[in-house]
Amino acid sequence: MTQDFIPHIDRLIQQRPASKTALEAFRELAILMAQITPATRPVQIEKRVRDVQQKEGFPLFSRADLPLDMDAASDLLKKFLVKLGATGRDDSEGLKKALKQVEHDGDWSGRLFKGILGQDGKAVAELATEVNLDPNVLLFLGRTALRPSIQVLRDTVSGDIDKSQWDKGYCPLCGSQPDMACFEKTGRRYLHCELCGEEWPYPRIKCPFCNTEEQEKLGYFEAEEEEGFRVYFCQGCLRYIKTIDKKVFEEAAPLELESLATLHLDLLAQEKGFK
Amino acid sequence: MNVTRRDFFKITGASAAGAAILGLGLDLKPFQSHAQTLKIRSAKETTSICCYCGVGCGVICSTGKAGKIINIEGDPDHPINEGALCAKGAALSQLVNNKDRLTTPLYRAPNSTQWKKVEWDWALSTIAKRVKDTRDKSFELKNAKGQVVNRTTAIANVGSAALDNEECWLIQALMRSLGLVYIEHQARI
Repeated sequence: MTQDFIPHIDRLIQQRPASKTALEAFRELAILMAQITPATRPVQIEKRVRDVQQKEGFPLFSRADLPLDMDAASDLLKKFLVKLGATGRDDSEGLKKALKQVEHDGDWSGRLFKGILGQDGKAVAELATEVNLDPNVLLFLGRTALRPSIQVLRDTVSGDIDKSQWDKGYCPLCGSQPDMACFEKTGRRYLHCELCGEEWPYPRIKCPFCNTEEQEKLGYFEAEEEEGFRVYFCQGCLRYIKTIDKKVFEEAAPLELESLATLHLDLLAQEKGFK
Repeated sequence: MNVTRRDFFKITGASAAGAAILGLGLDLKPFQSHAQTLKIRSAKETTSICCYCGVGCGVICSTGKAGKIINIEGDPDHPINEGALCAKGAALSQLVNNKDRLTTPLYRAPNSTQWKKVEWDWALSTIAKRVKDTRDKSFELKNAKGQVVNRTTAIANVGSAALDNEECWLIQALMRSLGLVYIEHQARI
């Protein structure tokens, strides 16, 4: 079952009006995502192997080899392209071309998903050029189309991972980097995987990207008017991560939505030279 | 548009939300205008130990401009308290940021109802003088049975739970050298 974003969207729009357009646009995709039920792919990893992998710091899967229901992802991508292509956007011609490719070239969406999962920017850019579409649009639609299938996988295998023993800055399930973090009620920090949405505990004062624990290099900034949100940064590697403090909120939305609703913090972080 | 591998990493990583906006073809202006209205403050986090009792709970101090403490919270990664703090520890930042905080010694003379500010030198030498006077007046070389005791029962010492091992040793040595027998500790009271 895909995580249901829709009930959270209206509440977030009320709380953070600046994010209205982003969240309303995302709602269209979330409705389509909720209609998809991807199949579970069999996963057989012996416990002994899993334990060794984890001990040595290897994630359960590499991004490129995630056992996903690509047919469901491809169907969802088609639905996205149909929906957005009909909204009269400037790039609707490109969206229609992409739809034609997905429908007529059985391998096209597969190549897109492979490019996204394999972090092959060139491959994604080439596909985008073929259909005269902004690579960011194609990338985002591809990632979002993969999400329900990835979530089915996560629901299947997440319980097998002993996250209390995982002390890395990358995801124990798929090895991707975190895109957001949260403080749970105990104050403990959890990182959130940018690809599969897995969450795992990570020390508060440590950079997840370069692993430095030098307190002089680490810091955060926050808006005085927005209690509960901090942007942690590392002056060593110049990366940042937005963080929501769940102690402050009665109910926090899924971090994917919180991330969309706090884009102003990304802008501020990038203004300060962080990436 | 050409996306390099490096850009790709960037937009699939920490700026996934940015990619989402670009991907949805949205206007960034509402976010930009909102960002401009905010009052931003930066802080650095430093781990420390609560100074109040002997449990030794870990805390994280957030310090802003000019090293001013803006927040203190329990350290969730500290093995002793795992982020929790008692009511006193939770109010730790008031130890520093407090308009009622004492910044000089205060002295209330015998029979007076008023406190007055005094200098440290005066306070310390007055305490030393009075300890010496009291100790000399009350010092007992022998007890009623004629046994050598070298003690005073006119002074008592109460130790603080915030004292570390080395400080306790120094205090114990000093108090024993004066002949004190009433040496207590907050943790036992």
